Amino acid sequence: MKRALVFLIASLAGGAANASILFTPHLSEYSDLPRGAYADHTLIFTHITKVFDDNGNRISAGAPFVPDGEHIDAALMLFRYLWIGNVFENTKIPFLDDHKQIFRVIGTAGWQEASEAVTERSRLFGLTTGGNGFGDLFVLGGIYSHEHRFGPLKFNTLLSVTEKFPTGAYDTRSLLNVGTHYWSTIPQIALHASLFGRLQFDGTAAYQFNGRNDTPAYGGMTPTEPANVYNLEGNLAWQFNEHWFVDFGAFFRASRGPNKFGNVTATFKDPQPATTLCENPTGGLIPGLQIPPNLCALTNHFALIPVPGERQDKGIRQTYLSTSLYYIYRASSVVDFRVSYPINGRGSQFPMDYEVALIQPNGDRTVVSNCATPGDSVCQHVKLNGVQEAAAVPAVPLFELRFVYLFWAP
Amino acid sequence: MSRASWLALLVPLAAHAGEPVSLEFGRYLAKYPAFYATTIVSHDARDGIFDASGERRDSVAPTYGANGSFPETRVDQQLEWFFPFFESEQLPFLSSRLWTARADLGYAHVSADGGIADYARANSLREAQSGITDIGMHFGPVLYGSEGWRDGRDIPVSVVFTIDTSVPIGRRNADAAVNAGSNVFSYGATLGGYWRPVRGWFIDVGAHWRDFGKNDEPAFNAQEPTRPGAQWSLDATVAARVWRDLYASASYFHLSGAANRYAHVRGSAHPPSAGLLMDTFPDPSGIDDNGIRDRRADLAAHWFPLQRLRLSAHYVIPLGGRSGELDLPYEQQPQGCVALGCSPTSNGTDHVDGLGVARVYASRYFMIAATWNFGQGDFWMHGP
Repeated sequence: MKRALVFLIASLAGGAANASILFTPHLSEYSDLPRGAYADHTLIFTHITKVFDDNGNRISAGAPFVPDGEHIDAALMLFRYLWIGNVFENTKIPFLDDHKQIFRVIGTAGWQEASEAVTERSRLFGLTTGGNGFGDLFVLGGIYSHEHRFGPLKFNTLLSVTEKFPTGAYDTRSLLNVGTHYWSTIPQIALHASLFGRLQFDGTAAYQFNGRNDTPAYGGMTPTEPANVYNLEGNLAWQFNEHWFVDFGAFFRASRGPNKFGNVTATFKDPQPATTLCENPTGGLIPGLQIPPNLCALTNHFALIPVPGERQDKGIRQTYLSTSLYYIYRASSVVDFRVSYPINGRGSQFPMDYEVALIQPNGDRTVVSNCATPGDSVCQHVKLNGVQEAAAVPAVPLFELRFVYLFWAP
Repeated sequence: MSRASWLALLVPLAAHAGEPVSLEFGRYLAKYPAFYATTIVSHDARDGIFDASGERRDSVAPTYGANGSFPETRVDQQLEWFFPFFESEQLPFLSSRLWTARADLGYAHVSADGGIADYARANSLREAQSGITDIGMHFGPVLYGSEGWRDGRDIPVSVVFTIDTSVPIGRRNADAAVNAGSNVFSYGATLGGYWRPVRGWFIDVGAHWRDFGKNDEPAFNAQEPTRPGAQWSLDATVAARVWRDLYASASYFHLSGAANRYAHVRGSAHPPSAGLLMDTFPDPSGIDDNGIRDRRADLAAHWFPLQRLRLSAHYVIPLGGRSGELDLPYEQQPQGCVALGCSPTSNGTDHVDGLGVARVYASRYFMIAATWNFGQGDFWMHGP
């Protein structure tokens, strides 16, 4: 049975279009597996209609810039190769020579797309929404403890470090990218315990060190300095028979400090006519803009110029409960249906200032605001949404259908 | 028993229009439980199409001028399994037959030449985006013909039914004229039959239906459909043993696609001129083409140099077809007017060649394929 459980290892999964690296709890995730080489793959689908704002409220995806009902869809595939053995077995290096090691490589590929209104709106800014192709590459190395037994209870621990190589497809214009474009290093400690071979516990604590991203995407609405993130998870599983399992788990992740946005450039691609910004300021362009009436002559066009500088959000946080049903077939395949429900969360939003420039009929641009002056009535103050995996936090249940097939195993 | 009888074969079925379709004989055969892998390599110059009236044209997008082409070299990897399912549960229907699952992966190198490439360069668009292709997944039962897999009974007929979906992970760029990926989910079903009427002869006949999701970011100024029309296809193959381990096959493939829908098209090759102090722009509302047709013949030779290996060479001949095209309405209004009350008026139309799944190519091409049986069972369900 242990062999069958191998599929369930390694659920280091990018969970959604905008989710970060989620240490989602799965059955027998960190159990001490037999030596050998394993390969499997996983499919994850998500449909995100709501996200958390920076006060923890659930808001529609893209609000307030697009109407309710818009969504983001994503499909993620993981191709995982795992080797368990002991490369130090014949050496005299203390500790390593009698503890098994684990090495894992995870390749990812995916598709992400926003719905029509989000895409059409993004075009006003010269931006796109979709992302496809290969994602980042994850490489993990770790070491098992010995397995300890006390009567019906047995348990082991696992120490590991994962490195994320930002090799994934990345378009600086896009709202959604399969690649993250920054490095991450993730040390992790994990525990697996089994009681009577029926009740299984898996838990872990991990800390994700994130590198810089000096070329942020979507007009700078991805962080240039993604905050470090810590992750906690626990999962309790029950085995009915050799084929069927059910589990219940929880995971929590939160950033340590704020995400920093140091290169926000998002603005309208073309100058906007006065009729757009003055007569219909809430018409879907940038809600909150207030152009003084005396600047609203019909022949005027406006440009909004992002004020340089570094912005910060309040950091992100999310807590999920999850449950799964597993069917294990012939020690070679696993079908796993999972529902994860968000208990609470906090997404990324940050304040942004725009200078207002008047475009004269001859094309000259005259700045009519002064954001450096506190209380300037023309300077535009808006709140932008941080996007992509380091910033956005979905507020909808996640449905995961995993088909794991073991190409080869010992 | 010939080597051909030891090797289980698999096949791609109807791919999207423009994608290579490898019609291997034995594709609807109930094979012995095992894992089979097929690698397919093809190169298609894609320097011509069948236009909306069915005429062969020497440019892939005639509205952008002559000599346009979308050359494509691609490698497809297909992984197929045959297996019993819920064996020990003895469930009605589920446990009494074999099941099949298949995954299709690939990489496509695509480029664009000629008028459409010139247009892309001149308008800050992109000519092509190469990369991994969409992934296809198929699953379904052997309806008939797998009853004797444990005792090796010879049943010369099999019927297979599968459902499938395509996940659009393929690489693409929203500005590119041609992409490796489609950016749209599709789902479908296939019913196929295999028959060995006499020793050394094989017949495969199948029908496939496919429908598509919505493409919220169609490429190249949205000249791709936002919702491709549902497609029906029919495929048939007759194969025969020629000499020892050599076989020959002839196949016919017919695909018919319903109207493709386009929306928010943002530009075209020759937009009408705007009046004085007026802006002109495409009508953003949806518009349909008249659907597509694609008919091809496939002549192939197959060789079984090893018990577990089959090598095939295909020559694909387009017989006819019809691409999706539309007359895109344009409107005009006073310059700079975007608020209510602008009252746009009609400003004629411009002809648009639908891109993506709407192109039906008219170029001949070669394709080679190799299939390897990784399983312990090294023979067909029922030998010739």
